[in-house]
Amino acid sequence: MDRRSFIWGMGGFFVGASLSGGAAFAYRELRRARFRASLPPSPPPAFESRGLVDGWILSAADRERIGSAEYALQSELLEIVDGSDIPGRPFSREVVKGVDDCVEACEKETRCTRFTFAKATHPDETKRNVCWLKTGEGEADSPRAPDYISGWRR
Amino acid sequence: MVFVARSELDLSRYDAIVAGSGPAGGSVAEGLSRGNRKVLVIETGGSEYRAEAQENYSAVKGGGHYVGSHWSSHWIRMLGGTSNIWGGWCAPFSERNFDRWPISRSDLEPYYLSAAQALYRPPDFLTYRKSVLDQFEYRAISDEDPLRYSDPVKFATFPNDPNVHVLLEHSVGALTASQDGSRVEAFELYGVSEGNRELIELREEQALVLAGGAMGNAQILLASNDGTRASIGDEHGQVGRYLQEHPHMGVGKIICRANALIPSMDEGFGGIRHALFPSDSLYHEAGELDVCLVLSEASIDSTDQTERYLSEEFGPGARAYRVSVMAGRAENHGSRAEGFDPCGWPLLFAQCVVDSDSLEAVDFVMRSLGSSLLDSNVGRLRFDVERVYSDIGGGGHTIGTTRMGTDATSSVVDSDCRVHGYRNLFIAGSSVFATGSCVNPTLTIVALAQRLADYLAKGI
Repeated sequence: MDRRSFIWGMGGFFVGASLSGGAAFAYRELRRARFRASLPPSPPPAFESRGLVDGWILSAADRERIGSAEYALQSELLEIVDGSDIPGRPFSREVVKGVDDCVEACEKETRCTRFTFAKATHPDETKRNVCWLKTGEGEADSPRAPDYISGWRR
Repeated sequence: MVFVARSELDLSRYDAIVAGSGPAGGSVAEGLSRGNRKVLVIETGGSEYRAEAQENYSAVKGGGHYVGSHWSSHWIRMLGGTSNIWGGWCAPFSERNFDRWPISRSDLEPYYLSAAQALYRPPDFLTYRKSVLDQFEYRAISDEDPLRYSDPVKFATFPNDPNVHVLLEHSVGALTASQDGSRVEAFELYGVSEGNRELIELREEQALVLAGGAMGNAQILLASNDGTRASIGDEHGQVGRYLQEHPHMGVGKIICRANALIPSMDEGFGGIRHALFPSDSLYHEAGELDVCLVLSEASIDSTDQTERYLSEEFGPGARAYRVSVMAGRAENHGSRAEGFDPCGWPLLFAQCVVDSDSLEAVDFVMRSLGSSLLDSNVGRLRFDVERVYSDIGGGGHTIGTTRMGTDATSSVVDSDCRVHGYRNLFIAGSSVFATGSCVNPTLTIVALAQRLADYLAKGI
């Protein structure tokens, strides 16, 4: 066998192999998609991380005070007020560890002119530790909302 | 201490032969010498550390939570044995830690005192206890420079002691029982450098003391098998069975008022570490597995909101401590010998598992500590619960392979550290611990060895 026909032979082999491999892959994905559609939603993981961060054994009063603006990061850019849900247009909603993270996130994001953080003690479980970054200007005063901390650019 | 060569040695002239020169063997030899007895100490290693000797004669296969090298690296083959890598922490077992022993703390009390002295410790830490919190008691762990039993200056009477001879680079191998099985009549002496073996006969009154570490003692007994009957001391399958280690883990942080948990200690205590122990009632609730909570100074993380709050709440001068645990037990769940090491002795296989009872005891005691701090409002605890279950280490506290008991069907040695049924065979070291408490074993090793030496000096 000369060199040229060897190269052609090998080339043909690889082209054939990749064509049939590709077809098999596409077929498998198709089957998987159909199969998955008929499955019930997957259960939550059995061993969820309990989180090293919040391992402090605290009283309810501790939690309330830690969650207040009194112990929030001091920010040079933002004025922070406890018990306030400042109006604005939210463009981001994230669950964070504490108000510190929300202050930091707003400081770093140039679009963010104000933020609102829902305390860990918020009666609505779905809102606890949620940080909304917002745009908006004007009147920063807002009705008293004890479950929130807000801040705005000075 | 006089070093001797095999060629100039008459083994029949000694009252006792001790296998191993670490804290156990060294203390037995020292005590016997004080009783004016002549002792030969046989050490597998040399006067310096040699990696080759270590590799050849400390091999262990590991399974479960601890790999083989964990055991090997705490079984040092050189003059002074494992004292050469000892960290220096000393604490006595408390009364409750002797619940399943045939002896009590009071039997050991005078020896704890002399052991502290031998290890250059002021003795106050032996008895000092202070209740600092509901359900928790403060005790000090002595932390002075560790005594190396290879140290020619510090190791007490050894330097010029004509009663103690040391034969290096030789090892005690298989033992031979007498026909009636009432004593050991001979042992194999293995020359490490030449690889030669000879059979040494023991005189009727000579005592043989195994002090080769918890792994070494089990290995010598398991090697003592002529193929016709069970190994010496293993007639009821007890050798190696109760191997234990103290699970170690870093489990949290405390922020509290100044002086709330740690009493201001007298300088007479010397170097100390601070530890909290559960009260007796909490200990019973935790399943009688002891937990030692070691507190080390830490700093307050001012970037953390909770820590900022706690430092103000418990200030001024609030203190932070890291909490690490030495706990309960990790126990052998597997077979005991598998294959052979380079000199033909059984290669030990340690399948040591930290059981759920131990983990739950730590979990329970930590939560109780958190509640006590909260209720008394002197501080708060951060409990890193995941680390209890997923980040387990060990202290090199190899314990329990030839445990002490009254019944030969559930133990290897009696309360005099004599192997059940063999009138001239004794064991020194942590291998005889019936249970392991939760504190560092060296002080108890030395105390038990001194007690054995007293017994032998009177009886030989």
